[in-house]
Amino acid sequence: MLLELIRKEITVNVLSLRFIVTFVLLFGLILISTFVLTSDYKVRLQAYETSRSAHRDALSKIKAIKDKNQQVDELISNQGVYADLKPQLLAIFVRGLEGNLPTQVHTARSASRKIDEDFYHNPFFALFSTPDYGYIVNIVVSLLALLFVFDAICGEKERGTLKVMLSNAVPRDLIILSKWIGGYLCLVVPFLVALLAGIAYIQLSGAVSLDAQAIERLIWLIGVSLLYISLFFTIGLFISTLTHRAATALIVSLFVWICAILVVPNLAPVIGRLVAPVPTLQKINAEKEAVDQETFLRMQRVSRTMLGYGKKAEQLREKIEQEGRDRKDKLYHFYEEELKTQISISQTLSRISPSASFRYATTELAGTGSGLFLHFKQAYKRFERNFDDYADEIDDRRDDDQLNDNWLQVDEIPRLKAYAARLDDTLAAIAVDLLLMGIYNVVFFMAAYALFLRYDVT
Amino acid sequence: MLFTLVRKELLDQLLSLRFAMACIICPVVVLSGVFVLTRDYKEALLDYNTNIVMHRNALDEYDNPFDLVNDGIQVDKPLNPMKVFFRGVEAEHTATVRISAAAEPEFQNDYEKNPISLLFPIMDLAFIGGIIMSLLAIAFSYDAISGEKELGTLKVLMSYSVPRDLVLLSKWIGGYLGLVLPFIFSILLGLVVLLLFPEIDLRGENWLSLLLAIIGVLIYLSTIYSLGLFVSSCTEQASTSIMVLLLVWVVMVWVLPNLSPYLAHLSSPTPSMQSIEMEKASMAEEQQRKFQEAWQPWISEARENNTPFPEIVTYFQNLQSDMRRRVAEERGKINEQFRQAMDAQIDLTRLLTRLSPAATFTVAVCDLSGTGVQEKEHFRDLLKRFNSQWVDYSYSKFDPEIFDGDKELDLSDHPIFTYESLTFNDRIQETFIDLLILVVWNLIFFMGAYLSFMRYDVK
Repeated sequence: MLLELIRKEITVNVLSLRFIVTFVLLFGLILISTFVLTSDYKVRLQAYETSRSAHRDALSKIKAIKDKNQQVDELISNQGVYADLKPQLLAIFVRGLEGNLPTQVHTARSASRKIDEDFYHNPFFALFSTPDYGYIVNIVVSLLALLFVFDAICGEKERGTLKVMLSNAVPRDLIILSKWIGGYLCLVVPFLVALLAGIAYIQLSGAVSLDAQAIERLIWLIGVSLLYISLFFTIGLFISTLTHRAATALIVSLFVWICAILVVPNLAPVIGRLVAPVPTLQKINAEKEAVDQETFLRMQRVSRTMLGYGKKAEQLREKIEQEGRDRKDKLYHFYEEELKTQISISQTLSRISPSASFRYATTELAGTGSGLFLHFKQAYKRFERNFDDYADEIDDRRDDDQLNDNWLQVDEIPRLKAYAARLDDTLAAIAVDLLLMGIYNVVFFMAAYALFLRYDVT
Repeated sequence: MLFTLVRKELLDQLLSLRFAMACIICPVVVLSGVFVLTRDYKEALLDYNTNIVMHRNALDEYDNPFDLVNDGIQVDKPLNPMKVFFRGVEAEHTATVRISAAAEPEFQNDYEKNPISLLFPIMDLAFIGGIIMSLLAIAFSYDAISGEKELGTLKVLMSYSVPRDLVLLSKWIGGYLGLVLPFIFSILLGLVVLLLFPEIDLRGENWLSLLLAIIGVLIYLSTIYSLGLFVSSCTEQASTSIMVLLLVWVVMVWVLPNLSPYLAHLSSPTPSMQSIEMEKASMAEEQQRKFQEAWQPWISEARENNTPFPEIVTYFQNLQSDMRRRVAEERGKINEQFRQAMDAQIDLTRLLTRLSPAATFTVAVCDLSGTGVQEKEHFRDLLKRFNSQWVDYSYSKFDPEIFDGDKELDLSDHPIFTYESLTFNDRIQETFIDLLILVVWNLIFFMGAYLSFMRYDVK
């Protein structure tokens, strides 16, 4: 009987306008998005390769300089070193935070150059979101899921067919299960067909090659998307069992969608900032400057009182400098801890909405989430610090006349560590989000089930 | 009769679930958005004032004209109080830029941000009006005609020989009022919140911009409402009209606006940042090489001839300042070529956004409030001009007595970066077309609804 009921649901859905609309919309959106973002990725990848090559050439030119002193000055102070950030492959599907990071960074002893990448971007990109696959599922498919099912129960009640069905002694649990299965299949099949067409385009276009790791992550991405779609489908079914009129169910569904997709995820960081405010980096930098001033004054006092000579004065100066550095580090760690707390609170609060969980999960799987962002921050600092240490070492060797003709080895120059999270670590990071979506699914389905068992079909 | 019909429609809306929904959503999102953006503004103002002092004090540390050349000065973009309502193209309220003779203006970016705020940006009025309120407009209008037909009350109404045009007009007026009342009330509450922060100083032009922007929101909402009415009068069932409307809404609000920059980027590409930077770097290298070719032999000869130090300084000053000016000129040419390509892409993007009322609305309100693309380009132009002033100033300070330590570097006459935002008239010129386009869309949809309803089968 279940199969019969499922078949009936599938037939009704497939012959409806919403199925055609869903099919056309999903096909169009996913294909256009894939085409546009694949082309964009190709352009970015080419720019990355060109840039890397140019930076390698610049290092070769420095190596070709005959004068060792000039070589050192060019590498450490004048030109410095660039590091390029490779575009993430799965950003074709979920752009995430990748657009908020630079494509290259620079460090040098004298002053690091900050390229104004904004100048090279169309400013309209900042006004509108990236229409990637993650966005389509999060916004469009969730809405379609609600529209597919909002009148599954109450609509049939209004038409009078529900009581006819139940008068034939059809168990209520089979009805609700068949509505879920039949409706869900009618939604995900066009979705998967469109997605497979998009992936096929990526592979056949030849410009982008999905390796085994990328495919593994993509499979997880699809799995998370199916879980997310089923969640909204279940919510829609639950709303349908709550109401007796399709018009009411529709309004409630739209209300729920607006709250879950637009309001709660955007309000959560707001509340996070109110509950756990963080001093601005400006304040921290101003305090660090005050520490530098104090250190400078103390050193001056040492020079005046101890005439600036001798081992004792030197030791005292080093101690004062170290204290200054420790205080500044403490300030920065305080700031980082406060920021971490705020991030944690924002994330926790936003998880009230399944949309936020979906965003976290998909961006982490695509390697474009907060993991990438935080990794870049740390990697950039480490890169600058390592380069400073490297520059000091080269300088010391130069002073001690220990630089030979082949001192400059490109492999020894500090590099920016690329972001490469293992899939296990990613899954561990998003386990909470997957679990939440699973729990929401079960809770809403059980609620729909419980309500339907008592539903007045007359 | 019109008044009676409007009253009936209005009462219908006020007693409906959707109105209750709008009364909950509007104040929550508007107030939270305004409150947070206002707090951000207040913090950014403190930072801006701190920066002004810090950057001024940094100049006091300079004792050498080379500090002016290499380290330059840091300037800060003043805050725009309108960003409390419209975030615009720049996420931050202010910006710090390093201006020096040795390089192009460098924006000081940091990555010390809460990544969650980047994933889920704060809702401003452009987001609330453009997306949330437009969806509510669909919810208010989708069953205006088809829903009443399904209920059977439309034929009863028409049986009283009520003119169809009055019926349609009353539905438009009553429904639209029901939609915008919670929104206007929320805006007024938002303005009250603003008054709690006296740091936010809205001047005459700002109030005018705000009023026009709110009018822009209302025109946009009426466009969506008219669209809803049009689709409702084309369909027999409310479920059909909602499906069609949501399809149109998704395409108009999410797809077209977000695809426009990408389509423009593909159709009117610009050279990549890497290729432009490489071109600038090799140009600067070439100029540096020419400088060295002129300087090295001269200084060697000068040392042999025991040339007086002031003469050396003067020669170096002239040679290097000429080189810097040439570099700045050439860089300017490269940037200008890139800018032309980018302007073509921006123009194409603007054209594509005008296909969507939602995108037209977003661009218009951001430009009106001075937070859009126009203002950003204006700021860059001012920076470019200040940069050339700074180059001239830096090299004018090359004085042999300073290098000898006989004289102190006096920077009391240094150029000060003054930022004048675009005037109201400048802003309105660009946005006038966008607002006109919205009005035209409005008329098209309303006329479509009118013609459709005149032939509508009410049975």
